Amino acid sequence: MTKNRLQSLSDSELVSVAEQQGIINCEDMEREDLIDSIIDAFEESRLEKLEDDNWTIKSVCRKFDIFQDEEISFDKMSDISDHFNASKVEILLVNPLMAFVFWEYGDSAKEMAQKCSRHNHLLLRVHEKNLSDGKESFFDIPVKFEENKWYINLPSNGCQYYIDLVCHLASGDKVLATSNKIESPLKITRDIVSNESINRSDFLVLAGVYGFYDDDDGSGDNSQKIVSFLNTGSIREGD
Amino acid sequence: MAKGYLIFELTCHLPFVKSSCPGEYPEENWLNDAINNTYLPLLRTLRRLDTKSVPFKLTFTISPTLASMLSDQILQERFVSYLDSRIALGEKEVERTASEPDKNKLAKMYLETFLQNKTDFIGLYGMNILDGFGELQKNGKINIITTFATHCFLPFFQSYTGSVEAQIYTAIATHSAMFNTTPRGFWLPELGYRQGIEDTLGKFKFDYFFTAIHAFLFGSKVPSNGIYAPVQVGNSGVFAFCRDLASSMYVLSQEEGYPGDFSYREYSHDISGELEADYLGKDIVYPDGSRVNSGFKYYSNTDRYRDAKLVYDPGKVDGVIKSHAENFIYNLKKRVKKLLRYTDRPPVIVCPYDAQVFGHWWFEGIDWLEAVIKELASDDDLALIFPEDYLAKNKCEEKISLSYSSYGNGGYSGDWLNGSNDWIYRHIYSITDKMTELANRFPDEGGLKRRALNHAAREALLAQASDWPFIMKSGIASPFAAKQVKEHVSNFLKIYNDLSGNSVDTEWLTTIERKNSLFPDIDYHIFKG
Repeated sequence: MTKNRLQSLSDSELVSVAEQQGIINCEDMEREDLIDSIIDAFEESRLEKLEDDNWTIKSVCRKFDIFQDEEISFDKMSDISDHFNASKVEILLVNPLMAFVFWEYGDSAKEMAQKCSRHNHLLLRVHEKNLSDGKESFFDIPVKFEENKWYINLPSNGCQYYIDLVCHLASGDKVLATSNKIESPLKITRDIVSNESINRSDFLVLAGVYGFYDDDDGSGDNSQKIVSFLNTGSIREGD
Repeated sequence: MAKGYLIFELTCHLPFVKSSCPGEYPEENWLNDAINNTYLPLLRTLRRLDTKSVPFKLTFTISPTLASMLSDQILQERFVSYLDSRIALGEKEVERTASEPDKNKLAKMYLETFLQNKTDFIGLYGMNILDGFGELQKNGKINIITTFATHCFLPFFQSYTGSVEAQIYTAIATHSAMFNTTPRGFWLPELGYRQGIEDTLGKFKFDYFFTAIHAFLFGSKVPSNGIYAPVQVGNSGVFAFCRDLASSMYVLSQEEGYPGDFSYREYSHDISGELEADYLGKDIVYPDGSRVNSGFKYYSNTDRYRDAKLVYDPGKVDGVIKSHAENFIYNLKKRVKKLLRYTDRPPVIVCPYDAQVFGHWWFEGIDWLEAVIKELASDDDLALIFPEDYLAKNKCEEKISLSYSSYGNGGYSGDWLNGSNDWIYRHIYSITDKMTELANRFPDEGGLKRRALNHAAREALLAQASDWPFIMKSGIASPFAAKQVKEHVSNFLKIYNDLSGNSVDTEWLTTIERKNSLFPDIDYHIFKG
């Protein structure tokens, strides 16, 4: 449902739609906030649907059928004893928009990290390098000593990222550990952006998705993220 | 000459699971179900086609962990026990369903299949079905390729170069020992691709691997033949083939694909979920209450759309299977015809499937595959081909860089990295680093220490399997998956700590070597990097 369509609905109709989407306290919300919440809820359920539509993943799941009631608890997992002797930070790509970061302190860095944390001076410094123009920048995320992992948003595609675990001291920054480097993949096809000669229908045929996304509603095995660039508007419509 | 080609790649993989004593883990049935439902019936079909001189060319990935389990004497004996328990249950089922002719007919059919599987397993293959695959390969009917030793998700290990190479080295060694051939193709588990692996695969003399669609489309440029011809990946000299999306849908989608047809047998309703534990027996209902598939399933795909489930009638499916095989080929030929307007060579359509789709989930899938093979045997326009044969016939000079990708939800890494499983990676990376440290600290050990170091290498590799985080995310058997990771990490750390104290716990080591008994010739030096 589009924003225009939602704006054409009456307040009571909007509340009804919001309730169907499981939005709580919707009667007390301002109209514009309510519309935004409904759009967010639709997007969330669309993404859930996409996850459920991955045939390949479903087919693999069926190999591991066991009917059990037992639930796992973190207590069971946490008793792997290990001593991480050195400070370390690692970054793993989840998807083009998100990465997982975890870190450890070596014995010598623990005290300093704890002290910095008390003053909100313990940071994850996220370095970004644009791979097309070489521009570099960074942003900081304050973390607490007790924490050891974060999921972070990656602001841009086609960039290289790495993380410094930093103690921000009056005397200067002390880098406790530097992570590996990852690249955030592009979500669109370079040629489609730059090459006017490729039109949409040719592209769909060559991508093997011709006829799959006639209504662009994301039906099908969207693990392949084909829809994302069909919706960018960067593709010239075919004849 | 055909106008277009078809590559069927069937992935045969399960993670290594072997309990110390029989009946300890219900998860051991994953292997038993795979052998019973897929591998034995599939081998029977392919041998029959081969005997009748029906031409076919199928590519099989047989993972080193699966191959190790299939050749493990203890697990082979446990499979015979599995068959015996199902045969005993089958005899009871034939009696129990005597007053229901339709179900009775099915009970007899299942019983006959278990009996036939036992005859094949023991009599034909001497308990090692890898021989069956090996023979088909010798006859030129199938082509067996390999994958990482323990099926790790590559994008998470790319910066652990030594470990990736250890995975590949062990995979090749296992493959060569099992099949007496060197694999030319490589299956990236979960189609997880990250730039750079092509150079490593090239170093190990692989010619090609497979990827998901967006690896091709979001790479350095759109290949001129789209996803329908392999490309050279960078300057590696290694080629990538891209999977086709539509042919996945036909076979893998319950809603839109063939397996959801009303007349086909339904997968999920098994008597193990319906009958009393005492009747089913301890091989189906485990002491902790877990239940596994019994194999006796009586209904067709009807309950999702109708109030009452209908009993499955195998006599009604032959025509449906044939029409689905014809439809599959019709659609692919239609696509080839369209593609020929765009491509400068006969397009190749890559259809990779998990082998257990056939027989295990889609009961009629093996018959469908047979029907497709028979149809293609007399078709002039579309032909089955091995990837290396396509490369030999068609010069593929176009070079592109591929994009990070997988076939997981969202197309990237979320299935193997999320709140349910992210805790494992710090431990896995830690022991991977420690394994490299051990390999460098003990450059030339012999005797007991060498045994301990070799086993440490096994445990480090086992902990890296992509199956465990995947199962944790899926929610099926997640306590078991967590236990496996924990066990491998703990085993490794015990060896590491013992060696640091200059000792080896011989009795414990012997026990754990018997349990995790794969890769007998592993050499810990492979972790030196």
